[in-house]
Amino acid sequence: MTHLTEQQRVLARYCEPLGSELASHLASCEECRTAMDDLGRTLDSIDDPGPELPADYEEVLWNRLRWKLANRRRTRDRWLATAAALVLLSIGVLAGRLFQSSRNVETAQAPGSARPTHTSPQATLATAAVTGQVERTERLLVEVSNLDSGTGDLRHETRAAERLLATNRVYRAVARDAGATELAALLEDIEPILIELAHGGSDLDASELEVLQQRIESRQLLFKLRVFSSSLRAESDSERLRPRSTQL
Amino acid sequence: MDDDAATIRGAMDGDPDAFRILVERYSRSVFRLAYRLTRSRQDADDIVQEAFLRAYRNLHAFDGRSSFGTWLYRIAANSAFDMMRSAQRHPTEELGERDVPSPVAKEPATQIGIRAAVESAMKLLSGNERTAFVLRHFEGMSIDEISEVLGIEPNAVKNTIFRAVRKLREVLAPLVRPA
Ligand SMILES: [Zn+2]
Repeated sequence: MTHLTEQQRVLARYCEPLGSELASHLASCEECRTAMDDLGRTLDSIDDPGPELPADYEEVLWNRLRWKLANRRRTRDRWLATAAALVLLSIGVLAGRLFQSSRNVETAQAPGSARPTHTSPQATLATAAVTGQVERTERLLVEVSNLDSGTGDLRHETRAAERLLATNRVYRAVARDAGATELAALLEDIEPILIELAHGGSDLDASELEVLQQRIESRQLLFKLRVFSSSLRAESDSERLRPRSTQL
Repeated sequence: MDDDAATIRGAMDGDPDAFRILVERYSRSVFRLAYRLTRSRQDADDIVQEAFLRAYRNLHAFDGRSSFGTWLYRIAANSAFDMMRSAQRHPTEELGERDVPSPVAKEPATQIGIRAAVESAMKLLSGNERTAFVLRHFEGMSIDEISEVLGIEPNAVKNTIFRAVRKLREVLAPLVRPA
């Protein structure tokens, strides 16, 4: 007759019920029952209350948390408001440029006529804001695409995605309203990836990470981001080279 | 707890009082869990704060499949586990000083003896072993839930619990023996 092993006794207590054969052995074997009772007594004795907490523990904790939560909300609101303002400006610039270049194609420009510009310093700054967002997103997706599934720790990427997601939402809504459909479509494509990273983040397991990487690849997101950011960069370069005569 | 659903909805709508209720309801048990995992008052305090901040940020992701408490404990356990893991990775950055639990004078000597033994036995466990054991023994989490927290297969969780129990028994069994 084979007795239960120590491992079987521990698993029976914590992990899974004994199979019928082992269970009927246990019922008929004094030695195994004693061993099982011994184990039970030892484990039952494990009490671990930890240090005593002061009566006002909850209140002190809440005061700390409240401050942090409020601070977080304020920072986020301020940032979103700024981002929205910048984007509005920027979309205006981009839409104007687009409109302008299509007119340039239609009607050959008269020699010497200065190309009207829409560049105020604020607008240049605004273009830079959108460029920055697109470039940061590109960097994040490159990082995620290169992650080894065994890496495990995605905290850095999660935080980056959280920050990008907030602005992505604003940018996308404004771009759509302003009729900048290409930008809106790109941001819309990216958003689900950012959501997944921001929310699933450090808890993503290897297979979820793989799904995410496949989605980035199948939608050619990196390629689209690169194309967009280089056209934005070209835009702001030509801006810098242009004489600052007729400012908005 | 049924009350939680309405409170969580309130918190999601940005009602700070609602979130305060959740903090009041759960902070002590989250602290106890965090302390059991880290054996340090200071680290446990940090984890409690981190867990509530993370919970607040991710309230929208709480789907009610488990109770709010279980969800929150999982967040706290994850934070504690991250902290222990990074302490193992950077052994020079010591975690906060280990605490000795406050002596409880009213209790019989054997009970104090066992408690001190539990304290030192828990410190013998690796981060994985302690987390798996605490989540199973004190929090009653399932093997699958623990496997999610630790990021290892359920079978590996079972082995980890077995190793933890063996270490604990070595220290505790002599104190408990006479039935
Ligand atoms: Zn037997």
